[in-house]
Amino acid sequence: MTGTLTKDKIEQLAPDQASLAAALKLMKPAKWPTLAHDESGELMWGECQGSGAAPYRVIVSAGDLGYKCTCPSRKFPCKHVLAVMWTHCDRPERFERGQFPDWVQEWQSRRRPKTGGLAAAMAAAGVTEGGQKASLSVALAEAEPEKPNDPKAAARAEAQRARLREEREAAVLAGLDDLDRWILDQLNLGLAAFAQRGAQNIKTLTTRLVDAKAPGLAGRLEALSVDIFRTPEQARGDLLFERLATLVLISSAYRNQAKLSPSLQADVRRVTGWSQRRDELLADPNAPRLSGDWIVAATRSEIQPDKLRRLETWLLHTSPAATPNVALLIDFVPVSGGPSSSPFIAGETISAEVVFYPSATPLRALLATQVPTPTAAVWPEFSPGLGAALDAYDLALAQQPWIDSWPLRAKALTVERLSPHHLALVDSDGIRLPLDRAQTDALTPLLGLDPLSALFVWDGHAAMLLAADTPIGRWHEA
Amino acid sequence: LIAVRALSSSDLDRLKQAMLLGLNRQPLKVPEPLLSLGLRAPALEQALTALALAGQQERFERPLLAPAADPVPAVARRLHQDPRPIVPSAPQRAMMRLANVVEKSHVGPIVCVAARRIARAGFRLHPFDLPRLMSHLRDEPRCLGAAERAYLGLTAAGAATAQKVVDGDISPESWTEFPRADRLAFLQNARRKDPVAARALLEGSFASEPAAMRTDLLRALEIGLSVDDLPFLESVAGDRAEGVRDAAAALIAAVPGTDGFSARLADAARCFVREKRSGILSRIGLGDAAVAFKPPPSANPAARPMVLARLFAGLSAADVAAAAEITAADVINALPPDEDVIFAAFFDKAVRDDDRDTMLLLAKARLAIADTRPAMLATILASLARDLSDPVPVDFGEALLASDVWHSALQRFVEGETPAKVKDDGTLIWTAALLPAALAAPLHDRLSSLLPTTSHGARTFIDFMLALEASIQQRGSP
Repeated sequence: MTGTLTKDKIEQLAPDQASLAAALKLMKPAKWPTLAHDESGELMWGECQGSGAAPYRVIVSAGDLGYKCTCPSRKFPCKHVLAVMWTHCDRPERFERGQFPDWVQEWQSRRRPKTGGLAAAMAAAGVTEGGQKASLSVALAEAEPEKPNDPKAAARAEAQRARLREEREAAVLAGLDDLDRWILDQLNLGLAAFAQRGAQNIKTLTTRLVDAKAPGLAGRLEALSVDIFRTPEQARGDLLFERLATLVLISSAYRNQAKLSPSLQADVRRVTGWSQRRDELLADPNAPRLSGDWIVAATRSEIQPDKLRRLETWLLHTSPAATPNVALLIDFVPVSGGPSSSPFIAGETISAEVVFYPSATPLRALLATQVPTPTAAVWPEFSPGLGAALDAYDLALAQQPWIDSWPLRAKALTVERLSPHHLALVDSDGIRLPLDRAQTDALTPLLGLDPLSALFVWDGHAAMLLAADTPIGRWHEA
Repeated sequence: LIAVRALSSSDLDRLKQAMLLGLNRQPLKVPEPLLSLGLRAPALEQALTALALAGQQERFERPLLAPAADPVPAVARRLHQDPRPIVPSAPQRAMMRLANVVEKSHVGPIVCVAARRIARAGFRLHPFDLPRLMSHLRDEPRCLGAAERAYLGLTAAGAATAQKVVDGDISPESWTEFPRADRLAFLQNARRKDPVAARALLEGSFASEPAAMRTDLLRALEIGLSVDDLPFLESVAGDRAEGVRDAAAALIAAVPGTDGFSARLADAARCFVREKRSGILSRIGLGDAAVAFKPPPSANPAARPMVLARLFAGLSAADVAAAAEITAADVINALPPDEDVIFAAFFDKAVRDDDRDTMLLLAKARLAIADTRPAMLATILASLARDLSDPVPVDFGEALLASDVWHSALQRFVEGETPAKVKDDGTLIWTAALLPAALAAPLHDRLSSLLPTTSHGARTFIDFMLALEASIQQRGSP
């Protein structure tokens, strides 16, 4: 049995080195009041005493490398699972032989059979044959247990979900009333004095919107409370004007969903805070899908005010004719889990089927399948100049009025220096788009390289370069 | 899209003005184009709708940026005109992995070692990696070529400084305007060529330097130190900064040709005595006379290290050997491995004189100490790798890998049961950084028995070495 699990395989499964190090710390016997396996040694389970009152319950199936842990970590597998595997590898004598406890039996009975053996299991865990890690999206989707096949229970659950949905709809609408009233108050008092009214001004409404189960809008307000103080005083009025206008648009669109197209309905619900389950999206035959080779254009990590780390992976389809040819994978992991990064390396090429969330302007997506491709893909051909790119932004903004930013593509560009700490993207017609000041250091080596073919995100005020094809190679944001 | 652009800029400005000041003070007057769109709702909704539409119109505005005065500074072009080829992608990627995976406390010096190997191979760093790596390299002139200097110049505070840094043509007229590392290297080189002129240069700017800089520059006088320097040294021996006073006192004591120095050298030489071996071989004239270390007796054992530090400060092993009429190897081999103070004094002097052979001799003799003080092994290897410009010779590397002390360190990692005990304390990564590429394979074999987390950094350095070696082979001679 221990032959199935090797340290190499465990290292491959681990989402990062930090997880392995954390697992090592957990290998002390005192941490594990329960550690056992079945007669064959195929199935092992344990209870790990964490910081909470109840221990985390961990189950690992060595045969197909399936696993389950009750801890809240969003790393897959988490350190507890890795610790059980590692201990079984190193110290199998520490495992007692025993009967399955109820919780192990329940997990066993709910598991979907894995038909592909080890390879399929590793793929489900986010590792391909080549050792390449898949998106957390894939891992999550595959790790989702199947529902019990009981029609009565299913009907009860559906009724319960419908009731909760109705309650939430009413709560969101009440929250939108509060939002409108609050915005009107701000207009009556004057936006010029908004910042002086203090953070509490936003905090109260943010809390109210969280209570009203509209976390998307609460998040936008929290971001505004941070951005307002990052913005120079003379530009704060414009920032507020635009952001509050967008909130009013969302609020109005939510109330008038019946008049919107299904895709725009999905957009407004998502931006308000409704989420769509990953497995539902992956199973949705009507969801837009696009297969082919994708360049991992950029990976970004950002800590949100809600203490979640937002991991963005930007994919660029290698065929310029593909539509949509940019996809954004977003994963969230708790900051408390330590450093974490996208499972992809910026610059690599993957062959994947991408499923887009329904939207008037599809962008956010999940990976349905993916395999790494050994050769670097050719950079796709873009239209020359920034004029056409800005037209594409206008179109996207017209189609979905509350987008924050939009990925644009253009070739025949250069990077120019506006001032020592500020760069701009420039085309041959003299159109200049200021680049995000946070990127100045990273983009300084692009000065003097000509021409560039670039993928960047534009929010109406600043461009954030995601990737560029240059005469000395590709530049990627990472 | 056409409708929301209906507001003229003056309408938009008036609307914004009212909202900034507050509708309580300046009641909303809905512009005609919005009224013609059917905006005849109650006043409360009117304000929100006017905000939404006007704010959305503003999001379609495009930025108008005037051309920059110096869009692509000449310095930026220099960054890409360095005639050295950019390091190929395989070693470049391995180098960046190193920067990611190596323990924080080692990463700066390790990146410097890797950058020196790239430079020695005739390549330059990829310009896109400079923003990430420059914080580690900026104080290491051995890593700075034309491209690296150009990047430093681009990010330098003042334009005049930037140009000088880029040109790299530091001269007696301009040397005070360069970064610290450049100035030190310049003064040291000047001392090697013309000690008197170099001292005069220092005297000219000494009073206006900050204390830390005065100390560092003063220490550069150790190269080519002579009685000619005494008047200047005595003039700064009463400096207001303690560091400067200490440095001046140490240098005064190290001036060759003075009575004090000669007496000190003679005292130091007397510590090494040739002892006739007893026995039959010696009686028939075949026994070698061994050199033994006999430090001056000290009444206060606690003061012994201080006494020895003063005695050997600024003396090279060769100086002492010449005075004792033995070889430098005799001196070094006679030292007990725990004589930290004397080893440190000899090593510092060898580094300042760029005396590679003595550095290697000292390191070899010093390795034995790690038997009793395991933590010393990593320190010895680190200081050797940091200070040597090139990897160690193959025979030295083979001896290191075959040594008992290195095997003991490896065994400790194998047997370690706690995370702290299996964590590389620097022994493995610094071994990899020291060895020539010819020994990459034997090192890799020896690391195979370790946990992946323990050897990750060292294995990454091996990957870098091999990738760089392959690139050198592919290109031809370096």
